[in-house]
Amino acid sequence: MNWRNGLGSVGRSGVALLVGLALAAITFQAGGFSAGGTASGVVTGAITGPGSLALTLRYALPLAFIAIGVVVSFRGGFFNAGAQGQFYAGGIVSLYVGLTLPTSLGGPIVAMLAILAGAVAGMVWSILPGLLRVYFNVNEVIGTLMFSFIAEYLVTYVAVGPLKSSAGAGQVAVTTSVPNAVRVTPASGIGIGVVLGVLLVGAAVWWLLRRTRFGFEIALIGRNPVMAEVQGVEIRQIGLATFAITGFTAGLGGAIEILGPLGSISSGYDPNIGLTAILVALVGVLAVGGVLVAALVFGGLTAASLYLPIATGLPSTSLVFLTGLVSFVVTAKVGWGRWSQGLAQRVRGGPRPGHRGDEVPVPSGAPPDADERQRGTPAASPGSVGTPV
Amino acid sequence: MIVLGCNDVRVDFGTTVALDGVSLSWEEAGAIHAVAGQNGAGKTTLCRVLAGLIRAERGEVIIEGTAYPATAQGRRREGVELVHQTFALPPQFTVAEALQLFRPGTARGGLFQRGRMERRWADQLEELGFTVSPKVLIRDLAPEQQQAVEITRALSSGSRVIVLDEPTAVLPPEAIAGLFDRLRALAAQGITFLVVMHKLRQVRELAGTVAVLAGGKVVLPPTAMGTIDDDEIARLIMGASSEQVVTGASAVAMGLADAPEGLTGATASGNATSVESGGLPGRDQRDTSEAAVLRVQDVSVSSVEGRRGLRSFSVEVFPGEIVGIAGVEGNGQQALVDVVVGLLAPREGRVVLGGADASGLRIAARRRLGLRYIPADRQSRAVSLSSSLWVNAMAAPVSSGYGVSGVVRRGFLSERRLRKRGEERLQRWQVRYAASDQAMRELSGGNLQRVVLAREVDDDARVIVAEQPTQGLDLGGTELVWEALRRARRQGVGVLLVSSDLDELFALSDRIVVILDGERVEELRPPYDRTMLGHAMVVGAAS
Repeated sequence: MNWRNGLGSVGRSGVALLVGLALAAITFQAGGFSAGGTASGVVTGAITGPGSLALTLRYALPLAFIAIGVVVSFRGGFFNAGAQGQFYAGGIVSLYVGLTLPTSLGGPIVAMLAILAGAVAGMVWSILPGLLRVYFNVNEVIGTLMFSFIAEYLVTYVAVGPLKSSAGAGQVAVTTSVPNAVRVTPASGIGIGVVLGVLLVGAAVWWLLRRTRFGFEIALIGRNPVMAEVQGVEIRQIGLATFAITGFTAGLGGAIEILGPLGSISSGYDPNIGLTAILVALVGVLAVGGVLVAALVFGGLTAASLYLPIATGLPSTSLVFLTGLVSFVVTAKVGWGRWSQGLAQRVRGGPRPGHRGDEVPVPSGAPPDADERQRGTPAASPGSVGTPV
Repeated sequence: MIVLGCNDVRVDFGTTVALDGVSLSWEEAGAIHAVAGQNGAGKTTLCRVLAGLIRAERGEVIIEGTAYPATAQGRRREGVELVHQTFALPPQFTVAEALQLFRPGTARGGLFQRGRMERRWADQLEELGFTVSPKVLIRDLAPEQQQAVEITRALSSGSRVIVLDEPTAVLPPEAIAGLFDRLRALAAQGITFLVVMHKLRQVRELAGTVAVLAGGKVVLPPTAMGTIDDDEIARLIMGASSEQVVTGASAVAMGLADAPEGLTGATASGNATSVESGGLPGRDQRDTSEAAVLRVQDVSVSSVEGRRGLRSFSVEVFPGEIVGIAGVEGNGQQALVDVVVGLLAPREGRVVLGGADASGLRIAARRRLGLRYIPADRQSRAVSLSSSLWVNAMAAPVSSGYGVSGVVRRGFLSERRLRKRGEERLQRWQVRYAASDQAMRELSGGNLQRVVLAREVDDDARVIVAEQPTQGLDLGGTELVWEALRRARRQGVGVLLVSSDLDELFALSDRIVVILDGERVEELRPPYDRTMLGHAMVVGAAS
């Protein structure tokens, strides 16, 4: 990536973020809360308060895991929106393995196996809609989201069924907790191993994208799938692989969340992490470095959402509103690029699509899925993010 | 009385003039009139203007003696109905529902009465001689049945004038005779048909008069079929088109005619009817036992909407030879290219590359055998506009795995070296650029095609499929592409050249294979004769 262009897109992301925050501040002010108080509340809750930074990091880590994998799919133009479900799948399976394997094997070994099993589970949960996408042209947004819903109900099933803790916890059913020996972090959710894990996964993905034929081909597909096919790219294989990688890291995130800070799953567990991770990937301009920074920002916002109700009396859901606004602006930012391209085309006087003369030869050989994707993806088509790779 | 006609109609699409002052009139009612012309001649636009589906810049339309302004905004016109080239019926409706849509009657209090509706349309269909059940879903109908429903719908409006846009294009050959019989029977009852067709044989079989459009202009007013022969019509269809297509390419060809061409020997005279060409001297003594670099054997592909298939099509390309594929656009060229390149699996037949059966091979494997492809659709098939220049130049080598030794090892690559390799290719083809990581979309058309050449015309190439390689290029760009293909030929590469520019075909091809309706109908060798080629493209083989 040309560093100047890269800086430009990062800058635009930053601006989008600030615009989103400003809009939120105005809304809060209008709603009778102090915008200034909210702002300082966010800063205290995310950074300066006692233990705030630790909390920020704790929420940033799983986000980073997931978002790094999302980058891979999005760069290939595959809108894998089901990280939430893949996260659940990873969490459930790692919990199961963590509970089933005897700790006599050694805590760390059980933990490793459980994490691996979770990552593979996330991968499977992503590959299934991936197969539907590449072989049957089922829209991957719908497919992955459907699988997320299934996973959500599996969470409840697991919590009230097979792994239910006999101890009980009042209204909410909870599974048995994994033994302490198997936990990868204390309840704070911060462990040096997890931080290293994020950096390792980040480095691996960066290297995959920039230093392998596979990464080269992902970029080709993401930018022009028809051209990529003509060049000899195996779109199905590469597409499936991106689904696998996204699922793997999301599963990893789920495993570490369950084996780390949570230790168990409760029914109705909904951290709303999958969609936030997509946002992190987009704000991070689909670059690994950018994603790490964006994960910290959103981790900070999550941390602040716990503090805000105490500090300002804002309901904690106000942060959902805030992230919603930010996602709106960020998505619009992706659209800006597209809009300006369209404008440039109009200024150059090129023919506008959908307004052709009769009998103008239309390329008919384009595979329908490619065509479909160019027209049909939601505004945040990843292909238009960033700069030439 | 003028049954159907138009007066000085002009239609623009953006900067393209689709119809340019077209005046036509047909006076005989209860007859079948034909309009012929190449793709892009303005036939479909004419149909739409007549039916009032699109607005003209100026002019008027005459229906059964009454003149209407053609400039009215997209209002359907009474008295004339259009049967579209591709069907416009809602696929999830039953036949009766589709026919009933927007028609008065049989609905009481806003509700359809299914039984009454079905009876009504069953009668109507039967009356017209169509055997279609009104209860069947549109999407379950065969093409000829869908067309029958369309015609029924058109007639049920009470219109006495029906315009059919390429009615035979979607039909299997065995259904065409049935359609023709039906149309003749209806004409005998006083219905007037205007039929757009590009196959001369069918025009002669069906129509009483023919008019020819070329480049949005009338080159032949409605003329009784008895007074004009096929060659004359073919000449009008093709001849006019070659004038229209005589762009930079032809000018270059004509300019080059005086210049000694040395090895390539390709010359094109300005004489519009007889153009000389030739490959290497002594080409006819080529050792035919020499293995063909490309062999397409008895390939059949089914037709789908928007793309005509192939029928037992064969063509061979030998090393050091350019084989031109000529044909009116939409006669199976796309399917041929896609089958060779590996984008489309043929129903029957095989593709052999340099002696190896490539039928089951994926695109990457075919490219490793030396297959290269210069697509007609540059922006979507040939390049990735948002990717950088060097990525575009190296896309196929990296993805297919050739010409990247030392740069890509076991799937690992050095971006720096890859970029350098790409820059070498770009420089060898004198692509003008500021930095090789600038986006492809910043390049002009000719420069963009250079990048495509830099990728596709390399040292490892054995067969190059060049599809409309100079379309839209200026003189310099055209010259560059031609020179690239000639140089490839000198180096023993076989080139399959699919082009609708006859001058380009004449200037480059050692042989020209004519494709019509998915079949190979003729093979021509130099000296080429424009009339003969035009005849073959429109009518078929010279008998």
